[in-house]
Amino acid sequence: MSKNNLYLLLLVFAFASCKKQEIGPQCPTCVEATIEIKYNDVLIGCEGNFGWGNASLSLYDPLENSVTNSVFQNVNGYALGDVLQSMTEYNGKLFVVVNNSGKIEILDTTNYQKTATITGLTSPRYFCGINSSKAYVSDLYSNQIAILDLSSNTLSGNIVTNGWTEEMLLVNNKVFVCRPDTNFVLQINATTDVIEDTIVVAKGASSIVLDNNNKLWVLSSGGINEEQGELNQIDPSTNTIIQTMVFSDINASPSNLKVAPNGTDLYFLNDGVSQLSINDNSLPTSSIINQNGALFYGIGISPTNDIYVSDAIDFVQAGIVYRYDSTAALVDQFSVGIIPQGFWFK
Amino acid sequence: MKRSWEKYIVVILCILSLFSVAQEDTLKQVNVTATITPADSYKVISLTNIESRTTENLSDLLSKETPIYIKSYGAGGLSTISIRGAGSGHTQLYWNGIAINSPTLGQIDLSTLPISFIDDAEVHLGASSIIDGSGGLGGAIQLNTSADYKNKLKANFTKELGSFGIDKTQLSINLGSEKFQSKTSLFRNLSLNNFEYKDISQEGSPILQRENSEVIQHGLKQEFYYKPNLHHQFSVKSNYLDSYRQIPSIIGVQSNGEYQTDKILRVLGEWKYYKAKSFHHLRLAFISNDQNYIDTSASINSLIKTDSYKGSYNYRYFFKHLISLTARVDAGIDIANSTGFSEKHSQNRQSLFVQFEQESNRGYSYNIAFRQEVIDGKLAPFVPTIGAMYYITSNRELSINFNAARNFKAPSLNDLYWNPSGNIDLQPELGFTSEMGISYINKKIEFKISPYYSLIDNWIQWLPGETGIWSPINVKQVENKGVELSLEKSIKVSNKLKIHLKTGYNYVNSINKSSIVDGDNSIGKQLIYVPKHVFNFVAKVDWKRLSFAYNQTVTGKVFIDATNTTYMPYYAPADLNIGYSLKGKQKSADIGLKVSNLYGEDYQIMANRPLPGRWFLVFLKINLNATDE
Repeated sequence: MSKNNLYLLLLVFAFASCKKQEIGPQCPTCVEATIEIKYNDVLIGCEGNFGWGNASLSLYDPLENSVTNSVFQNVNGYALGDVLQSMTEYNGKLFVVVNNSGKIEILDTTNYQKTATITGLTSPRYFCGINSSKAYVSDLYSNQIAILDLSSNTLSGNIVTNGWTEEMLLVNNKVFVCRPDTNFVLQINATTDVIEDTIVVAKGASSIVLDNNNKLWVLSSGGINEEQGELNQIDPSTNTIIQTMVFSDINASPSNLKVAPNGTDLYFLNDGVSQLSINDNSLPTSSIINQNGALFYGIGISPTNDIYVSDAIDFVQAGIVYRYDSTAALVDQFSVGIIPQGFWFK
Repeated sequence: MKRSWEKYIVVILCILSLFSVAQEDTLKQVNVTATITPADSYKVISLTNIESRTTENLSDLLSKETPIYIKSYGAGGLSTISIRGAGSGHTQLYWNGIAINSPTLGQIDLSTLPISFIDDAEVHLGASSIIDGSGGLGGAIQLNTSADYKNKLKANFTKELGSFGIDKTQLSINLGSEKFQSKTSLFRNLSLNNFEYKDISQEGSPILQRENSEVIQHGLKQEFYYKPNLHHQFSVKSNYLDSYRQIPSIIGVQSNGEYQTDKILRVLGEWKYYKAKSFHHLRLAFISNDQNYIDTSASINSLIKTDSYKGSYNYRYFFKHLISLTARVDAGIDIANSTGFSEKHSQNRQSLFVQFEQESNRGYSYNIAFRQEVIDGKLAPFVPTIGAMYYITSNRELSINFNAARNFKAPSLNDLYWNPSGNIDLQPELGFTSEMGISYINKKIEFKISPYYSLIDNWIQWLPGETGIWSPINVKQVENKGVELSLEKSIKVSNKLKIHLKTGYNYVNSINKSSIVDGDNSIGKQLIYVPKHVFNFVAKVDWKRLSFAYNQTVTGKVFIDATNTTYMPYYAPADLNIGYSLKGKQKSADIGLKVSNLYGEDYQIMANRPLPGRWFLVFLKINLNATDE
């Protein structure tokens, strides 16, 4: 063997012997020495790609306009999981539903440290707290709503729904549940866990909010170009529809209904951001914020009435969050994790 | 399954009837083996005698013996290939000249191609993929089988037992005469793949055992070859794979008991007719693919069934010894039915390929070719290619080559017809590729360097539209600039000690040049899952009856988001094989040990898909050989 070959061999073994420390996905820019927790933090839930395990939380400070990505990983030392679906605050804890991981990470809202993990869910979507020891979790595939025991953070039972359940809302011991693959909103008795009523809306009911007159608003997309979408105002005491506003374009796919902290302004996404008042009798004819070629994926209204809108761009790159003030003027924009879709305001 | 077998028999009978048209001719034989040989100007990596190699499957073979990037999800999972920065759908695979990529997906899962179905493989990089067909914007891989008419009887039985329940059994019998050959191969592969891994998704990264990752594959290969005289050769080639694979979840996601079955039948009838100045080659093929994917928890039961009928006629004429013209006509239909479609869809394709080649005895050669395809009655983009090669030194050791081609990749049936969001208005992806290479080849050493440049326009990507429904769109333009280096050296120290060294390195800068997506921050960034650096090294040492093979690959980090903020770290697993041969006159046996992931590296190729640490395999191979040497 000539000298050259020997060198080559040595080179190869040199390669082989340099051991690395990194295993799995890495994000060097996400790692910050300390995460500063402020009173007015905005958490952005980033869904991540299905099957890639890259769901994450980004933290935004609206005073300093600064962003920290991968907050959950930073604080807790492991990745959040696969497909973040929703974040719900209840009893001073933040319930982060991680859909394809079939789990809920419960975070302390003062430092984002995990206090518990609820596992064993099928395809969880949204969390709805009933009381200090009980909560419901809607599900895409299990055909059931899971009942959680919040004292032990375990599954304690279920309510058979025969299909996909989405956003839920508790009013006067009644839980109203969206059933997106039908045109129903279910009403469950929060004490007996029995489905007591079904309210017929349009197909694809997926988001539900409560206004300051104690009336419910349900937004239905109309399915995939199947029917016209609708916005329905419902009286939760009688389970009757007070008024219905129909989207004239069958191809429209309105989603993400939110209510401002004042309880009188409603916002939703429909090829841009639309806004209306709970006293309006018709749908707005134009958007207050145009998409301009972007694809708005999530929306949140802050306690100071700022409008946060996320753009997932091509779904494989860092998404962008646009922050507008209440007059829809752009205040800031910043890069977050992959597929930003939900907001939680401290 | 029953229907597949019936079809199998009908096709075999049809092809056998062709045998009767064979006629006697006494002209001198022209020595042509492949239908269209890659011109001298093209870049090709050849891997011959595959069955004797100590690799598990095609993806293993390619990732170890070449510096080509294989995206492997691990045992039981998908395994796809990326050449020169292009996507996995931009590598076309051919089995004896017949395109075998899935018509619905446009790409192929390498784990459905067991090694025992293949004798030789040729990787056609860049422009050289044009000779096979369209669509290979990165390149193409030819998988070929052939007969040795000197063979009388060759039989071997192989048993492999390894970690994680690996149990592989293979029996192959090749027998025949100077005129007739039959090749039969049967195999069964079992593995549980329940290896331990570090669960990085949990606090404290506990060690867990992989679940739901069992693989059961059965396969059969039967080939008949008939050579009545020097001018005619007939063959019927077929293989059938029945595969069951459990699909493990990513780290941190509970198993949903997902699994996939594939039943794939490939049948081909061939007639080769050699004359003094011409060569005819007719091929008729049938490929059937039944795939069933089941996820009980999500109530998904997806069925995909595709049937492809393909015919190809090739004619080559030699004007003089060194000047030739090749013409090839192809016609075929793909019929697909899928749970994702609202109805059955099919696609017709016809193509004409013409290539002119001249080799001068002054040391240069050149080739000009074009391909015109018609898809469902519509003209596809015209594909021209040009190449030249020149021997710089008179001993023909040092040469320089150049080639350039245009190419296209038609949208797959899923892209066009997926219900509800397929896009029948999709444009074909357009490629341009060029390369320049220098080779230094003599008996002792082989060195090649080839810088290349390629551009892929109208790159198809699935994106959610205004209504939130995902749909394929012609999104971006991608530029790939790279260089490939390879060095191979054989050293015969003595009759007892032989050393063979092979190493390769690929560099590619694959960037998103422009995009129709608003606010796209990935412009100028490296594409996801395309490593800039891939290195491989193979050392084989034969000493008396012992053989050692050491294999090292180093794959650089890959970005996993288009804005290049997150990445998968580099990985550098190595393998070691030790074999011992017991040789009798007509009988022989090989026993050996294979250590995979020798240094016990903890790594993942695809994010959150763990791969096994160090693992072992022992093998026994008994050969019976009655061939006259």
